[in-house]
Amino acid sequence: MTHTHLKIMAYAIFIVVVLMLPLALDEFWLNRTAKYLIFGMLGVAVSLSWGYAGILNLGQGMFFGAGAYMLGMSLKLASPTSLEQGNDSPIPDFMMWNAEPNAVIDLCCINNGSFLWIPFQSQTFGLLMAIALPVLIAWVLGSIIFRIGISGVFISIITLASGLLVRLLVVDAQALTGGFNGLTDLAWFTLFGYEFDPYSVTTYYLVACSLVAVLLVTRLLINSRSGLVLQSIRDDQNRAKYLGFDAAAYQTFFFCISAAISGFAGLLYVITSEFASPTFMDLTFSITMVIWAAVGGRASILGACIGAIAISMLGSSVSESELFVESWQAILGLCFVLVVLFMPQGLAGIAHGLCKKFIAYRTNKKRPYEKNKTEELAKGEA
Amino acid sequence: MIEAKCDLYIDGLGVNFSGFQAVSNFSMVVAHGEMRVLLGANGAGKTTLMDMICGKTQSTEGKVYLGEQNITNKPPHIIARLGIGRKFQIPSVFKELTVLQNLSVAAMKKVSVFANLGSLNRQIHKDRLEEVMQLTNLNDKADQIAGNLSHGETQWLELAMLIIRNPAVILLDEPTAGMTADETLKTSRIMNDLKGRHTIIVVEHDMAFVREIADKITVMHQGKFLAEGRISEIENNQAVKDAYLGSGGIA
Repeated sequence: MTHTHLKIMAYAIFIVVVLMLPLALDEFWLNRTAKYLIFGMLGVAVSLSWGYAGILNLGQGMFFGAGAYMLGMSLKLASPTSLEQGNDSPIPDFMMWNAEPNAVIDLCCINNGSFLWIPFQSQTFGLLMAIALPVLIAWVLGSIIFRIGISGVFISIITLASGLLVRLLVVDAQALTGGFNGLTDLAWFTLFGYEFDPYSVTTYYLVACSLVAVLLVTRLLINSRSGLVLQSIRDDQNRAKYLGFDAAAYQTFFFCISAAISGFAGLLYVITSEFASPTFMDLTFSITMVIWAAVGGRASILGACIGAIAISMLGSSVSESELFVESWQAILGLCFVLVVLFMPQGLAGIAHGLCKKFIAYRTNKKRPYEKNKTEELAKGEA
Repeated sequence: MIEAKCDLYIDGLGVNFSGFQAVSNFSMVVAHGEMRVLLGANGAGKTTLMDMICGKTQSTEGKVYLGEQNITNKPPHIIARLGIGRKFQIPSVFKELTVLQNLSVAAMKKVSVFANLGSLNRQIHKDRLEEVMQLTNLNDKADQIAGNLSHGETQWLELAMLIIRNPAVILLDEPTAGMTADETLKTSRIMNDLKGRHTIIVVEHDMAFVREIADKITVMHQGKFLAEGRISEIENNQAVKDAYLGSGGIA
């Protein structure tokens, strides 16, 4: 038994548990758990960029929000209220509230820029944009940041600022985005004529299978040659450059992958929660994601994923008990401080250590002679 | 993989750091397969010269040719792809990866991110990896994390990462800095093994080591070319003696 075997086993157990959960949970809890699994996906995205690329992105919420809004726009247009505005084409209700008194009641020109919504009448377009827009933002940001050679804490500052900027723009363009209220009262997501009821087992499986796919694809990427080069760039960017690798291209590519995963998570979140809100892009949410990854172990995508699921589960159950209703955030904060102080590799680091001990124990049990030998050696050294 | 067949021509190279002329009008021709040692006091411009060759520092005058090709002021990763490998004074390896992973990264034939989305096992020749590890005394360290290696081993690992790419020209900045006498001896063996296969330029202060490896020596002084020749010629050269007067000669 090697470390790789145990790793594969950990993945297998996680996947089986996630796929078996509908047997044990009712519809209300299934919907909740689906949301936690989506957060798990965000954990994967943060781990990829922070743990493997060394890019601490404090604007991950911007990508999540972009994904959520893009599909949210399509689902908004498909909702009954949008269709009942006395027009052939659907109009979101908030656009009516924000329209000038004598405005033409049509998506083309009811508000400044409302024409941008026209292609979103196709849900496929919304779906594609939910991935494409985050990737585009990441590509533009990444190309600038990595080409100029900005590194370390300055990347965090720039992503933080861009996240705040995007959130501000979304809130400010109320006539176009619903402002602070976000997009509410959405239709169900439909795929090939099938409607995804957020509280159904099918929607749970949509999310669960997506998470499994994201986990496996990310794992494959990390194990590829590019994944290894990415880690080498994290360790020593200059060394990689002088071996002939274009460090900026690698960093930008994986930054975009991380954004795509976040956008994907955003669109799934809209499907399960039936709203998109500017709070998705809040700084606190982006930092919460970083905490998930730190607690779970940023150097392990499965660890970060489990960290995200566990903490958000804990957070919501603690915040609902009367005893902790006021103090749960302080408790979470304390947990985070303790983790950072005493287990810098997070939960995954502890699991890693246990695996090592387990392997050592098994090899010793098999070959007692060698065990004695190592003990003698240890004594000799002491 | 890059064929080792080019020579290096440096033609009137110089750099001006906002008023300070670190290197000026420096010319040098290094023949194919030659082991050239660069000598000079601290601040003579040796490291700056290497930085300009490999693209780390942008030169303000002159040209650098690799064979027929003008590589002056190209981006570092392009120069590296064209066949110049650089080892830094402070050993730089990928600290969180194992020795084998470090070498695998260096051994990759393709450099673009999309071309490398495939599996690690393809494209990399196990024989070549083992040959290079053997040469650099790292054969029993394959699975060690590079950050846990000793100083000397780290230097050899970085050297191994250059060798495995088979570059035409290798630039070494003080490869024996901080090494024990035994490690220095092993390094000079590695260097003699590389002789003839690559064109090598070494900056080195350890004269015993220089005597061990050098074909030809170029002496720099205050950013300028001072002298060039075999080791005995350099030791008897009046200009070199004058430049080092007071510090007791170069030996």
